[in-house]
Formats: sequence, structure tokens, C-alpha cells
Amino acid sequence: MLKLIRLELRKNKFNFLKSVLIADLAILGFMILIAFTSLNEGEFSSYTDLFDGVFVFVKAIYIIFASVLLSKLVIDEYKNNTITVLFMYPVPRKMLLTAKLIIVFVFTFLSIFLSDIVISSILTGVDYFMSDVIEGTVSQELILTHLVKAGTDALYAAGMGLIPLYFGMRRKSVPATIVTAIFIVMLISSGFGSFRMGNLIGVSLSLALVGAGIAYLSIRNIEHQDVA
Amino acid sequence: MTTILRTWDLTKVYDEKEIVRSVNMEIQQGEIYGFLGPNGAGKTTVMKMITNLVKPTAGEIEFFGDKMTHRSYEMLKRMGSIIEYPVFYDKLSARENLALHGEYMGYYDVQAMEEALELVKLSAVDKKPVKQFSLGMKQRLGIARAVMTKPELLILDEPINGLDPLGIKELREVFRMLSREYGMTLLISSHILGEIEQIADTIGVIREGVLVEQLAMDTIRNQNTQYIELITGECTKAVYILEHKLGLTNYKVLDPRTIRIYDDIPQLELSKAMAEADVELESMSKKHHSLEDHFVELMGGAHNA
Repeated sequence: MLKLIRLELRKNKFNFLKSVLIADLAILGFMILIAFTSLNEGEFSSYTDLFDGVFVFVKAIYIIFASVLLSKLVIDEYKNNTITVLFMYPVPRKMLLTAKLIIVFVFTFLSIFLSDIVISSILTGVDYFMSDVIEGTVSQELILTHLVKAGTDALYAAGMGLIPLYFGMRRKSVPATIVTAIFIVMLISSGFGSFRMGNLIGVSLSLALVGAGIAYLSIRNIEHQDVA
Repeated sequence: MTTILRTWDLTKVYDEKEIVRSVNMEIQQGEIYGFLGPNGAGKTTVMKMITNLVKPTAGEIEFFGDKMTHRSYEMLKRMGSIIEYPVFYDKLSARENLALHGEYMGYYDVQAMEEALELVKLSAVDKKPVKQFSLGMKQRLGIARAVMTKPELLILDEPINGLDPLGIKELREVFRMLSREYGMTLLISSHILGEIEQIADTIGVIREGVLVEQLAMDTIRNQNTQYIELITGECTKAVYILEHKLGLTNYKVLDPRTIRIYDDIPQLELSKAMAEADVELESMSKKHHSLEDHFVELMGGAHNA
């Protein structure tokens, strides 16, 4: 399986680090802009608010990122017909698809988790040294709760990131894949004040399970499908 | 000779339409099997079923005596193929594509890769991505990829598409060499008779999803090539004489005035018999029925046969 994952990466020549860096810089810039300038009208007055804000942005960006990855790894293979080459290899189709989905899942999870930590830390640092807009102190307890939250959030988001696979595969369409991701992002980021749909455990958990279910079904069905 | 591949009543139904109907194919080890049929006759579908891309609706495929199921992944190691048109990972170079192929096939060998490129005269390709290749180059690279792992069965769907006459000639030599020297079995499809005729040992003709004929080339060459055409106003009488006086069975009444006799009989004997029975002949001539006529008849003309 590891070899298959390595081959997938080689085939697509991904430069994850560069893309992640650009995305994270954009999020960071935006967060600094709204948290530490006059635009901030009490939205981010505590560290919890600040961190939650970061989580919402990071999740949004990387769920869409996941859909782009899905398009490249899965949908494009169908569109370019290279799937006929891939499925003629003496490797079970299940394993080929699983390798692709693992890449998407692991990438989404890691980039959300790490970006959460890195961006939150930088913002805390900026606040400490420069403006001190945010009230309260960074306690060990606070860090711990937010680490756990970032972890579970990332896990849910990685699950949700697989939902676009279903809609993309129906018509083998890249736009459908990405639009689905945008809808999911809109759904989980919607709300008012500090309330976000995505912060309801029930909503996040069920969406993540839907994503996992879609991945499972796709993998299960693929053996019997015709590649026309 | 051993049978390398055999299909039993292979059938594929798409949207309640039978694309391939009860095909019984038999390919012997070491031969070049020409798979001939007009566009849309079901050639590609049959090939896709053999390569496990499309699952048969009914029927079975046997490869080296083993029945193929949707889990027959090991069999795929012994095949090389180009289906429809050669596709590659466009952004990668020719060598990167071949290397990737080797990894997936469990056959990574730089030597074999270079040999395969040599074979199709692509050794000089540099690092440019396959995206920039011409169709002819892609076709060659596709063949290099297919033969790189030294498969026992090579499946090529319309391999000469997009090649110039010189390229076609070169490839023909390559196919012959693969068959004679490497002992590979080739299944080559085409809708161009002339191409198949020149290299195939056996020909299978498919029309509207039905395998209408499967014959060794030698047999085809000897068969149906010569006949005597009789034109007469008294067709029924003539037929009676052919059958009862001369004991001929291999003839065909084309229309109420024309009879073709495929049996070997001296023209003199024939005219004598006719004269004795008072059958007036308007003309009698020996004709040559070309292979092409034969296939045109099989492929298209069968509607009015």
C-alpha cells in the first residue's frame, strides 16, 4: 500500500509544502487583518474566539483543497482515460482507490491540524509582542483543550473532505467535485455571532461519517464497475 | 499448439442492447490473431473484457486454461495492451511513464525499458512531457509500454491509427518480430483489411457484436478464391444438372440468372453437361474472388446474403 501511495504521488508530482505554505500565509494575513486592526469589533476578544476563528478558516480552505486533490487523483484519471491503464495493472482496484483516498484523507487531516497549531501560535505571538488586543492569558489548560479540539476538528474535516467524491464520480466532473466542497464549507461555516454549524458535534460528526461512508462504498463498488 | 485465450459465449449488454453477442474466440499461442470488423462492431468491448476493464454480462473468458473473474489480477501480469488509443500521464516524460508502468506491473527493469524504446525507435526521446508527442509517437510509446514487460499476450486495439505509411511498415516488422522471435501471441484489431491480411495467422471477423468468422489465413487464401460464374436464363434447370449430374454442392445462386460454382471442375465438362441437357448459357467465365470481396461480404453485405 505504501508503494502504491508513493507511486500516486510520483505520478502527480505534487508539491504539497508549497501549496500549504501559500494557503497558510493567506489565512494568517487575513486573520491578522481582522483580529488586530480596527476591523475587529469585539469579535475576537478572547483566545477561544481567536482560535475558533482560525479553525473555521483553516477547515474551509483545506476541505476545498481536499476536493482539488480528489479531482486530480480520482476524477482526472477517469477524464483522461488513464484509469484504463491503471485498472489493467495486476493490482486490485480496491487497493488503487484506497491509496488515493488515503492520500486525500491524511493530507487533509495533517494540514488542518498543523495549520491550526502553527497559525494559532503565530497569532498568539503577534498578540503578545505587539498589540495585546486579546484578553486573558494562555494557560496550559487552554492549550490542551484547543489541541484536542484541533485534532478532532481536523479528523471530522478530513472525513467531510471525502464527500465531494460521490458527486464528482457521478459525472466524472471536476467542477461538481469542487462545488460540493464549497457547499460543505458554506454549510459548516454558516451561523451567526460566534455560533457555527460546524461547531455542533452532531453536524460535524455526521458529515464526517457520510464522507467515510462514501469512501467505503466507492471502494466496495469499484471492482464490479465497467470502465467504458 | 496450445490455446492461450478462449472465450465462451462472451456477451455484453449495455442499456439492454447487445454490444457483443455470444462470441467464441480461440487464440493459439504464438500466433498473430487479426480481429477485423467495422467501427462500432464490438472489437474494443471484447478487448476490454479480456483485459478485465469491462465485466461480461454473460459467458466466460479462459486465459491459459484459467477462468477469468473480476479478481483475476495475476493474469494481467501476462498481458500487455493498448485499448482504444494510448493514454499516458501527460505531464511525465516517456521514460517516467515507462518506469511507472514497470513499478505497477512489478517489473522494473531499466534495460527492458531501453530495449522497448529501441524497438519502436523512440530511444532519442528526451525529457519532454508526453503531452507534446504526436499521435504517431504516442502510438509507438504505447507499444513500447505494452511490450516492455515481455507479456505472453499482447493486445493492440487499432495500433496503426495515426501512423504514416513508413511507420506502419516498421510496426508491421515489429509485430512479426515479437511473434517470431519473442514468441508473443498478438491480438490485433483493425478495420482495415489490408493491414490485418498482411500479418495475421488467423482472422476473426466481428460484425454487430457477432463473431461471423474465425479462420486461419491459409484456409481463407485457399478458399473461395476462384469460381466459375454461369449466366443463364434457365437457372433452375442448370442447378438441377449441377447437383444431380455433376454432383456439385458448393455453388451459390446469386440471382435468377447468375450461378457461382466454387467446386473445382473443368470448364469443358461443365459446358458439355449443360449442352447435353439443352441449357442455354449466356456466358461462362472463371473469376477470381479476392480476399477483400470475401470480407466485404462478411462485414457489410451479409444483409442481403
